[in-house]
Amino acid sequence: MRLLRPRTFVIFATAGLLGAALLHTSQNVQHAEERLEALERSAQREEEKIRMLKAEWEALNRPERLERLADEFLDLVPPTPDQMAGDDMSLPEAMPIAEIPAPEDVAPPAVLQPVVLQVPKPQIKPNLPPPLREGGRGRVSESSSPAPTPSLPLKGEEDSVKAFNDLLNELGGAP
Amino acid sequence: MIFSQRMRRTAIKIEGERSSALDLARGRLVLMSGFFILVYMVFAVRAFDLAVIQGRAISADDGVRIAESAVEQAKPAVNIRRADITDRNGVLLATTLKTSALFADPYLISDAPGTAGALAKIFPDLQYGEVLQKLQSNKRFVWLQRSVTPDQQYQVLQIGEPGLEFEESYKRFYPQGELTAHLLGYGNIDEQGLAGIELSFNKYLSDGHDLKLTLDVRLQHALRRETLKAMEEFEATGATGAIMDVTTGEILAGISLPDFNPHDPGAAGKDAIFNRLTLGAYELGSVFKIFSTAALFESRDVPMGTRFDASEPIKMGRFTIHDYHAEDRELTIPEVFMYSSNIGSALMGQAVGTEALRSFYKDLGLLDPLDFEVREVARPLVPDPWREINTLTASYGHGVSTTPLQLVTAVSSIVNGGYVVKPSLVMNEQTDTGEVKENVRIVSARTAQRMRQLLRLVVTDGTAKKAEVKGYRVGGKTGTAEKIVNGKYDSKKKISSFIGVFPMDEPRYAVFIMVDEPKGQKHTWGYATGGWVAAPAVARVIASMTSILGIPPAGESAPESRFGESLKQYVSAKEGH
Repeated sequence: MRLLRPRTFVIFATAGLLGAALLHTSQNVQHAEERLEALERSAQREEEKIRMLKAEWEALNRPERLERLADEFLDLVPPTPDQMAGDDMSLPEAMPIAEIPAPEDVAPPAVLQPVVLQVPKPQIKPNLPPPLREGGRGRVSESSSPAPTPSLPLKGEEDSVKAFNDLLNELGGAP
Repeated sequence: MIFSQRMRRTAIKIEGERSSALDLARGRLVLMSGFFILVYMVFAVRAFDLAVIQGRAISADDGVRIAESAVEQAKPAVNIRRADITDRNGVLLATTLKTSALFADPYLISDAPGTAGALAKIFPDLQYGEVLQKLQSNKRFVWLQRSVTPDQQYQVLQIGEPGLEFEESYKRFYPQGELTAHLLGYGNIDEQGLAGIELSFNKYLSDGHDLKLTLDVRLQHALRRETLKAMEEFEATGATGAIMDVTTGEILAGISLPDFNPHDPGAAGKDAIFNRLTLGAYELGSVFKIFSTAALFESRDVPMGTRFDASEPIKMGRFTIHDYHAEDRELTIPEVFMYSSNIGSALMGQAVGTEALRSFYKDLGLLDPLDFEVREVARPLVPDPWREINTLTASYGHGVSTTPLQLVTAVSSIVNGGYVVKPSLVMNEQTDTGEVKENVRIVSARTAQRMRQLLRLVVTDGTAKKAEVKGYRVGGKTGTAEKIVNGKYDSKKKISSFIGVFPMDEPRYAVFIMVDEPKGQKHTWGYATGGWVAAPAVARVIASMTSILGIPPAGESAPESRFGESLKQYVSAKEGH
């Protein structure tokens, strides 16, 4: 019955507590490691995507292709030598940069909604020439310009929805 | 009482006797049960941990993650990724991408129609029926799709079909396609370079070091476009060209036509793989007159007005040296140069002397294989022994075969003011200053200046009038040589070339185009000479270069526009050409 002496009990209890704490910590570490691994993998995936997009960008920007497309779609030709002005000092002062309306956001309104709602409305209003049609819907009314063009942009939109969802998931996954 | 006391005593005694054994047994029992209790507690805690603490429902995303880590583990440990190659402006020329190939183990596929449908949706070029057939076959391994993008891979993993697996590999990708194929080279499936820069810097690239070349894809494209145009216009069998910064020897563009797709060099013919720029040795003809004339100025400080009798063909042994367009009179040095008189140049070579001419050519690097960053370089074909007749023919570029790149380098060394340059393809940021590296002098500044004037004269009044680009003071020299077929010169098969340099008053760029076996066309009155074939192409390249590089032209009244006109006093007026 010596076993149940108070001191023994205290020791056991402490050991138990420490064991529980250790387990808890090791679980935390394990979780953190998993998360880290997942993040690293996703970073790697993003990096790989970036590499691929870069390569694609360069392939699409081949001089030969640009020239062909410019021939086909633009009324522009390379400057001839006699069109070259001597040096840039002889050029007139640069024109003031015209205000260009912000382009339509790529992310679809459905996903943007919760984010956009935080934007104070008065800031948006003066920037937008067309009046807001739907009061509570913030930027949705930006698309009051002609309906989006058909198939191609839709695909991009779908992708960006997914990308955005991924981002949200990742952010939401954080404890 | 006594009894009981005795009894107790006995018991105590018994106890006392065996107490150590009993204690031991009990101690062990406690220990054992304690151990088991502990083990069960660990189990219980672990079960609690798994079920409650980590007990989030496993979502589809987790499934993908698990599957992904399985993919990750399945691939062999990959060493460092082969590094990128860019042009001088950072435009990607070669990169390594990770690609996955999708395959299936039909035995493990549980829902073939569903999987086939999902796959057909992810990969637009896969047919539902075809995939279904593959998934229901009796094999244990079927390829479904090569080169899957990361996005598509993610979607496939989301199907959650255990029978679908990926094989990952690295693949070399050349965004510019055939544009830089010859100098850049290509590799095999194991990421080992087999040609060009990919071969000569194989180890460096494998170790993960990025490489920046001196090429400029915009100039490369302009050169390729115009050379290809000339080649097609004159129904030639091949062509090559280069643009060099004469101050540094940097190669801004270098092409060889026909070219090939570096992603599939196996499909290209031998002719397309062959790099005419560095691996082809040609008798380049009259462009060599640049060197013999420079040699004359160097060895004997003769005045420009010195005359050479070009009225009679030179006969030496079984050789006879003719002029293409015989002037049948005595010619001054500028006249010999601008009308490209073989007789005149041969006489100049004779005046220089065999030994002096040969060593001058050697110093220019025309007689030895080029020391270059790409390993595919040809050994020049040099007459051995070198007799006097070889001196005469070498003066106008016959009997000596060199690679086009050697020629461009040698011309650069003369026009830049007389300093030897080495061709380079790998960017060295420190030397890219546009100033001549003054180390080894090959000709004096005076000779260099005279050569610049002569080269300008060829474009203003001589055989290369079509190379003129207004405002840019182009100078140069045409070359038309007959090819040797079965040991004889074939007058039908020509090598027509032009080396252009601009701006001639302070040369910065040399542009060379050579066309192999051009055929005379109606609009050129049957001519297929360097002046008709290559000179206009070089002019078009220079016109493109000026807008790409932003080089302003000189006005008509500017003093540099009149560069080289002083030589006209040595040119006698004549009736047409």
